Amino acid sequence: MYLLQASGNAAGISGPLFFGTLGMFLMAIGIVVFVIFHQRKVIRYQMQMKKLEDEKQQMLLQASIRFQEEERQRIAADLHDDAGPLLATARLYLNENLIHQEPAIQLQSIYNAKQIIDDAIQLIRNISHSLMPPTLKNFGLESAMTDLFQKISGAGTLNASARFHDYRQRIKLEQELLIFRILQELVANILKHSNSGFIHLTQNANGNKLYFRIHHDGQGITQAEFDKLNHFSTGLGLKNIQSRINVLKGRIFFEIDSSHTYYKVTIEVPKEVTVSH
Amino acid sequence: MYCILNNGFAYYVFAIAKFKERYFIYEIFTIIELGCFLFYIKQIIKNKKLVKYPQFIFVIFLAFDIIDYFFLRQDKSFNSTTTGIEAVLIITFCLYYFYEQLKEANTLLIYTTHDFWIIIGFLIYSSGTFFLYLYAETTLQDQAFRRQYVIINSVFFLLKNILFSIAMFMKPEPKSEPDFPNDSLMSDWNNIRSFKNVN
Repeated sequence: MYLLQASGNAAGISGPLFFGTLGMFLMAIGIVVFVIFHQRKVIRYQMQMKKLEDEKQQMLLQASIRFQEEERQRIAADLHDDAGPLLATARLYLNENLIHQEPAIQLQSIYNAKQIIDDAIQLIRNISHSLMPPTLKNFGLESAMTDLFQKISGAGTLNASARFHDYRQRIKLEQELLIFRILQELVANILKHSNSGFIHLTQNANGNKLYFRIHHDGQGITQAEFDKLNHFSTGLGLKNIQSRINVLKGRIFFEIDSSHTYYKVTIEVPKEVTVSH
Repeated sequence: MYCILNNGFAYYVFAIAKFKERYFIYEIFTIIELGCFLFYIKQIIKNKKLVKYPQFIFVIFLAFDIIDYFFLRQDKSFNSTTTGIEAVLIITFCLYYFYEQLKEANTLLIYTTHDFWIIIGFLIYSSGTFFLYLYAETTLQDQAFRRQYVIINSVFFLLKNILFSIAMFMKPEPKSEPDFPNDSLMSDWNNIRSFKNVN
């Protein structure tokens, strides 16, 4: 640069050339430095986001595993504590000494054993139904949800109704079960926490998407609260909802209406129609 | 070695042009230089809509250069207009390349790629010699300016070649995707195992 200035001053043209060249050079260097630093910043931000997302996924995975373990423990407890003693009692009635008893006592014992076996059958059926509701399997999501809402309404404490507007063709059973579980969990949460007077479920479809919306007039949560609870709460309910939504590749929105009179939860899931044979 | 060969060739071309007064060699050199750059940028631009523009621009530039040389320019000793336009085009495409890189969600650091060093080589050379070439047509006869011309041009030429050399000697770009796509499955499996062990 000293050379440039020295020779340029003698010719009298070096000023604009020198500053122009220097300016362009600095501009080029500035652009390159800006690009490098900006990209580093963006990459750092992306990595932070990825880390958060990974943590969230891990939490959902752990919640899902814990839920499965709890479910297994519950079934094991039901079988061990309820079905086991029932069958053992029935066995007592039907022991070898029964043939030495009088016919009246024999009849009474057989009747009692039959009653107990009926109870055991009913108990096993209940366990089976809790795993896969028969109404859902045989008649579909619409019937299962209507059935559930009728039972809730039948209890008399609140008004519950379900209306399916566009559900002419059933979706895959696995999808129906997941949606049923999500809606069941949402309804259970509303019954448990919201203190509402009515719950209304509506279903609709648009293109390849299915929409389910639950309205209620109790104390609900908004999307921000859902995200917060989902991330920090130790409870399993909301995490299970989120992991099921992820499995369905769907979305869920928790909102409060503008008049602040009722809350709504909307679920959006892609439709996977069953192939009819 | 690359720098010496490149510089030597450039000086050979300019020497022929100057001493034998075959100034059309400047035009050919400029056209080839821009052609090579546009061909290169066409390969690295990711926006499919813009891929056809380099060849389109090259044809327009070629037509303009011919018209300028045969019909517009009086003094044919240096082509300031076309080299100025060439520099503007190169700077514009370099900026577009950077814009594309910033826009793209890429986890690969930009300076670990060959393309980055080649592009900044072009950018710095074109920016640094932009004013020099603009002045050259009118003042190249001036002895003092010619000295400045040689110094500035050589410095940026050398800088460009150093940057190109960095690009050439760089290690192959690291892959942005893991070699084993089953890694995620393994990590899930490990999560399950660690969770069971904890409980």
